[in-house]
Parts: sequence; C-alpha cells; structure tokens
Amino acid sequence: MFRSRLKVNMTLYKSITRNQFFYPTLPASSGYTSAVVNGGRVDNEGVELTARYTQPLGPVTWETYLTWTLNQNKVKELLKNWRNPIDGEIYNLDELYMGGTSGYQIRLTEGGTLSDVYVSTLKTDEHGAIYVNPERQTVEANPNNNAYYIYAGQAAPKYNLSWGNSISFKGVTLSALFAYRYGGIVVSETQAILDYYGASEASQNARNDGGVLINGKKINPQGYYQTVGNPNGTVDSRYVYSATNLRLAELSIGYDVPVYRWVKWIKGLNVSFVAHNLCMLYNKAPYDPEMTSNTGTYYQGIDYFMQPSLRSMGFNVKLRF
Amino acid sequence: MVVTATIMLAGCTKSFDDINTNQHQLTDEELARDYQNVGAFFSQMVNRVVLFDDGSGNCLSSDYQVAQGLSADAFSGYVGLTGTWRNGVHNGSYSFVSGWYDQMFTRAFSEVMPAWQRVTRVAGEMNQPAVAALATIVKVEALHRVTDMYGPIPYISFGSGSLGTTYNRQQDVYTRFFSELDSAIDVLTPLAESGESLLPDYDNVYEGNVARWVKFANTLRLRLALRVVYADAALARQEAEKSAACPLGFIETAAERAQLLHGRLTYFHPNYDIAYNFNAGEVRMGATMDCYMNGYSDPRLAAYFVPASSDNKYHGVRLGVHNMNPTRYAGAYISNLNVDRATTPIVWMTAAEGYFLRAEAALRGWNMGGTARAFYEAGIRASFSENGVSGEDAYITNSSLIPTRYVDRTNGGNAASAPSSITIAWDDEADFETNLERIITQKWIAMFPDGCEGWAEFRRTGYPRLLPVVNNDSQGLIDTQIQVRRCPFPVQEYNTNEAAVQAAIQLLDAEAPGGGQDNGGTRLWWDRRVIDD
Repeated sequence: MFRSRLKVNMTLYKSITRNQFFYPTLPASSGYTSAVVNGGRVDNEGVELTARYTQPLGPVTWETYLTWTLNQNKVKELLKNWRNPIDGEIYNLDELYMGGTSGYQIRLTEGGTLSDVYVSTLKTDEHGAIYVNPERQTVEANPNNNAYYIYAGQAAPKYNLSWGNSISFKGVTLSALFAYRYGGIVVSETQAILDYYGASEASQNARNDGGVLINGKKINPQGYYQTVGNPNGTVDSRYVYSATNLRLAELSIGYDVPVYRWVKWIKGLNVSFVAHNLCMLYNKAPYDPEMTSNTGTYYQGIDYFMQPSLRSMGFNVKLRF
Repeated sequence: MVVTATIMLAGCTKSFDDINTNQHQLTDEELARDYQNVGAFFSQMVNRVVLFDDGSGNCLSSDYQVAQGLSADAFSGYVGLTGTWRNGVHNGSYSFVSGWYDQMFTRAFSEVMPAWQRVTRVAGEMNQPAVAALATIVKVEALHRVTDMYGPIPYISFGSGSLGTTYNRQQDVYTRFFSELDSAIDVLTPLAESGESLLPDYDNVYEGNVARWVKFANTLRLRLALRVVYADAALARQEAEKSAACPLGFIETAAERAQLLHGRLTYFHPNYDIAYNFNAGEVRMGATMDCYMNGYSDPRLAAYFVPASSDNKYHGVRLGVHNMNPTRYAGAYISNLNVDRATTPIVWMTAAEGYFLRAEAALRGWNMGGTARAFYEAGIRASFSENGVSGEDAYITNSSLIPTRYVDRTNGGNAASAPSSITIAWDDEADFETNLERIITQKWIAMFPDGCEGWAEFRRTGYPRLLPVVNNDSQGLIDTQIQVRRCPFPVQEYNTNEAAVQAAIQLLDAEAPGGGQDNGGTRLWWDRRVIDD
C-alpha cells in the first residue's frame, strides 16, 4: 500500500480458559482454612495492532509508527455447584478474594474482570452522605471487612497506545516515542499515610484552608486525615485515582559517524543519546501508575511506599565490523 | 473361552484384599496398637493451646503474638509492647489492627477442634472413652481461652464440615464446658484412682499420668466456675463445690502444674523470640507489673524479669505510647523478660492458681474444705516454690508494702499514680472486696505471663487495678478507664462466613450487659460485675 510505505499488522484473539485453579480461603470455623478446586471460566479477547509508515521528504526520511493493544477479560463463571466433600452441601462461589491490604482488595466476581479493585469506605448516613460524628466533628471509617467495600474500578487499562516518530537527515536521527494509557484506576496508600502524619501537600493545603470540605462544611483536617489515613486501615475509597496517563517515553538523537572513510575495517559507528521515561504530560495519580508492586496476577494497582519511577538517560556507542 | 473367563474371575477376587493392600503403609489396625491412630492428633491439640514455634514452620513465635501476645498479654498488664509498629497506633492503643487478634480463633478451629473430632471418633470406634475424655479436657482448656477473647464462638455447632458454621452464645458454650468437664472427670476418676497411665507416648503435659489430668480438669472446672460467678452465681457454686468434692483434689505442686514438658517436646518459649530476637525486642515488662512488684519488693521479680542494665532496677513500659524510641523503651532503661530459650516452660495453669481459686470460692462462703486465708497463703507459698525463690514468710505477713507509682524515665508525661493501695497480708477484718482484690492481685502475680487468664480475671473482677493506656486510639469505642473488654471477631470470618458473624453479633449484643457491637468495648456474658469507676 502507498508504494510499500505503510505496513499494518493486526491480531484479533479470543481465548477461553476453563477449570482454572481456585484456592478459596474458607472460614476457620468450618475446621478448614482453604481448599483447592478446579472450576470457573475466564474469557479474554483483544486486539493488537501495529502500523508503520515511512515517507521520504527530500533528503529527510520521516517514519511514524503506532502500536495499539486492547485486552478485555471477563470472569464468566466462578465455582458452580461444587459439592463440599465433607457434608455434601452444594457450594457456589460468586465472589473470590484474591488478597489485598486492609483497605484495598482484588475481588473476582462473575461478570467482573481479573483486576477488579474494591476499597474500604467511610460511614455514611441514611441519606448516603458522609457521616460526620456530631460530637467529635469528624468522619468515621467503616469496619474493614468485605461487606463495607465498594467497587473502585479495574486496575488493568482499557487500552494502551504508543506513537513514535523518527526523522533522519544525513546520518542524524531524531526520534521520540509517546506512550498513552487509557482507563483503569490505581490506589495510593502512600498518599493516605502521608496525609495521616500531616506530611503531604494535601494536608498542608487543608490546614491553610481551615479544614477539609465534607458535605459542604469544613471539618478539622487532623481528625479527617487521621481517620482516612489511619495506617491500621486506610480508607482507600478516598485514595482512588485515574490511571490514564500520557508520557514522553523515549527521546533519542543519534549520528552515524562516517568512520569507514578513515578506518577500512570498521563498517559503521553510531553514537546516540537516549532518554527513557522523560516526563509525564498527563497524570492524575500521585505516583507513576504504570509501576507495579507485585509481579503476580492479582495485587495490582496499589502503591504502598514503592520506589519512585525511574528516568534514565544515557549514551550509546555502536560499532559494526 | 467361557471356562477360562470364569477361572480368571474367581482368581481375581480371591486375593483382592492382599493385592489392594499397600505393603509399605500401615493399616488402621496396625495404627491402633499403642494408640498411634489418635496419638498424633492428641499431640496436635496439646501443641496448639498456647502457640509456639515447634520447628515445623506451621506455627511460629509470631503466631503467638497475633494470637495473644499483642492482645491478651498486653491487656492483662503483664507486658508492654515495644515494637515500633505503626508509630504506636495499634492494639496497644486500642486501635485494633486486622490480623493482630485472629490467630486465637483460627488456630483453635482449624487445628484443635478437628483434631479433637478425630480423637473422639476413633476413640469411640475403639471403645476407649478415657482417651476421648482426655482430649475433651484439652479442648476445654484451649477453647475457653477463645470464648474469653471474643464471646460467642462456633463451639457446639462445630464439626459438620459446613462452610457456614453458626456461632453459639457464650452462656451455652460455658454450659457445654461444664458438662464436658463433668463427664471427663467422671470417666477418668476410676482410672486415676487405680493409678493408670494413658497415652504416655503422646502426652507432653503429664506423660500419661491420669491422676494429674483429673486434678487439672478439676482445677480448670473451678477456674471456669468462678468465671461465671457474676453471670450465674448458682451455677458457679454448684460447679465449684463439685470440684471441692472431687476425691483427687486440685493441682498443688510444681510437678502437678499443667505445662509443656521441655524434655519431651522440643520447643522454644515464644516470649524468648519476641523479647530477644524480634527487632530491638517487641515485648518488655509491663508498667502495672512494675508498680505492683516493685511496690511489694517481690522476690519473684528476678525470676520474671531481667533488671535494666542502666541502673540494675526493674522498670516497665505502659501501653499506648506513641512514637516509641526502641533504644529507650527496649534497651538499657527497661527490664526485659527473664525467659530462657529452651528451658522456660509454657504453663497452662500454675499450682498456685489452684489455691487462689479455692481462696476466692471460700471467701464467697462456698464449701471448699478450708478458709480463704489458708488457701491464700498457701497460694503465695506455692508460687514462690514454683519460681524457686525464698522469703515467702516475710512476704505473706507484710501489711505495709503497697504498689508504687509509675515513673517513665524517658517521658515524664507517662507517669501514673499507684494503681492500688492493696497490701499483701491477709486481713480477716477487711471487707469482701478488699480481700477479693488481695486474692486476685496475688493470683495475677503468680500467673505471669499467662495473659489470657490475667486479662479475663481483670475483666471479671476488676482486679488487679491496671494502669490505663496512655493514648486511646479506639475512636471512642473503648473507655480508657473501663479498659478493653474483648477482641473483635476475625476479619476472615467476616469475609467468608458473613451471615454467621452477623448472627453472632446479635448474640453478643443480646448477652452483653448493656448490649454492644463487635468491638473492644463490648462486655462478654460473664463480664457483668457492676463497674463503679
């Protein structure tokens, strides 16, 4: 197409996984702590698309490339009609807790995804507004058990898009890569705990403003932050952020030194300056939402005093013989 | 063809049992010899009453911490918590951390109860009611610690294998305890009187000595009888007098006390790891202990604690101190625990307690076969003897020493006035409450470091008078002066057995004096003494 200047590559897929391993935690009052069972069905469908376009503009060559990946997974079924081998009771599991902290949790539900985040909440009154204790003029946390958790969103992105450009002119190549992630949420307990100790910008602003705005009224910031940021159970519904972000992921400039003019046995020499993860152009989370605290399937989208995101800059020298 | 097939079929069933028996595995009949089919389960029960590091990796000293070390042990006034966790906002300041109070429940129901179920089933098949009775005594010992921590527990309804086991009222649980102890004692008494031995290879407490098991069960029955005295005085008296009438009596000597025998079982006292190996030391002498034992110049101080290296004196730590500096609170300024890694035993019940229980029962006018004063003084003597210290004669007759005030050498703001002015020497002229305080205070000193019992008796009687927490982070759920009354139900039960927990909260609310929700401020069924302060 376009005289071989445009290349497009697309993959569509759908996979169905049946009889996964589940390792549900059982109530100790049953005499058991956990069981290993096969069951359930998880579907994955997605698109991977890459496109590359090269356009000579006189002595300059312009190349642009795009990668778009989209994945949707859906838990179609968890445990259905599992017979408890001890008492023969039929056991159905339509929710499964895959671990978390005292304020954040990954929960699998039928119809949900594998990265659904649930978070702890503040007490509300009968109208659904945040409850403020009339005596102490402060908010109160709900107990940190599952019944009081609410769905916050999925940790996985809706899609990822990256767009790169490079311009070459007489051996000099300049290229830039932008990465965009759309969708998903993250939770920051780091922010919560900094708030608790009054060491964050948010808590400073609240002090300067004379309070935190709750139900249209200002309440004492210390009482508020020591409730929502309590290290024994942060109220993570107050610390959910959109993970959508756009960054300059890579910038490089290189030069092909025509070294073969002087030294016959060296075929090429390229020197370049490369910088990765240079800056965020758009980010609403208090940390880099692409960072992960865990390499496992679950426990994603949570920051608990992670190391900061890394920016790297370096020189490359490439010799070809 | 037909003929051949018939022969083959006949040959097939003839040696069916032989072929299908694993030659390398023991059969049930072989296991039944020497009680090997119940022994391992009985040992498991014994090993999970008080949690300790058994070297298997399944149970660690840190499990002891989250079963009782970070709750009952601290709430009893015995120890102060000196870990620097969460800047001091944790159980010690009444802000319960999920996961720091659940192992008492989890271990009992996933390890003690199933093992008991197995032992009683196999014992029933073998027609060995004595073996089942022994296991039942251990079960009651383990599970009364659990109900005393939470209130309603799934004790009676346990065992169907259902994933939705319901909870029982504490009153019903105690009723069951009494009926179980009564029948276990009845079953074992004839064996004890004829000097028989049971499960000697698996019994790491009494090495199969049935007479001592009966004495222990009988003393345990008296402990539980007194526990319910403010909730059901008639039941308490009835059970206590049954114990007094038991021909085998109570545990009275160091040899008879219920403890895990170091020679038979390789284990480390969990407090050793916690005090000496965990970070800068996560447990130290409690401030209330400091007040009472220093005030009494108690000769047992050196048996329980190590003097602070800075001044060679004994200093404790209060609960609820924020932003604790470990070099000040766990180092040279504070007394560590005097525990030896491999010789300090885990004690379920001291010999001294057997006397103090009878002293209280006699004080209440029940028929115990002696006077309160005689039992009280014998209790102190037994405790001195168990701890290998002398000076009991002067101690018992001292009527001037009283607890001291508490001084925090790092932060003067944590100082506290003396918690009580109770003296040691018995006074027949004193009123009931004064003598009760005297008995419980001495019992409390003698039972160190069994926090579960110390905290339960403080809640029941109000004695010994304990120093309150420095900071109360319970968000108004727990009164600083009345102090913490229970631990919340484990979060895991909420998450996996929600309906039953909600029903349990209804039971808790219904039987608590004044009602209450699932938090540390709600009183248990037996906790109904009128609190005046």
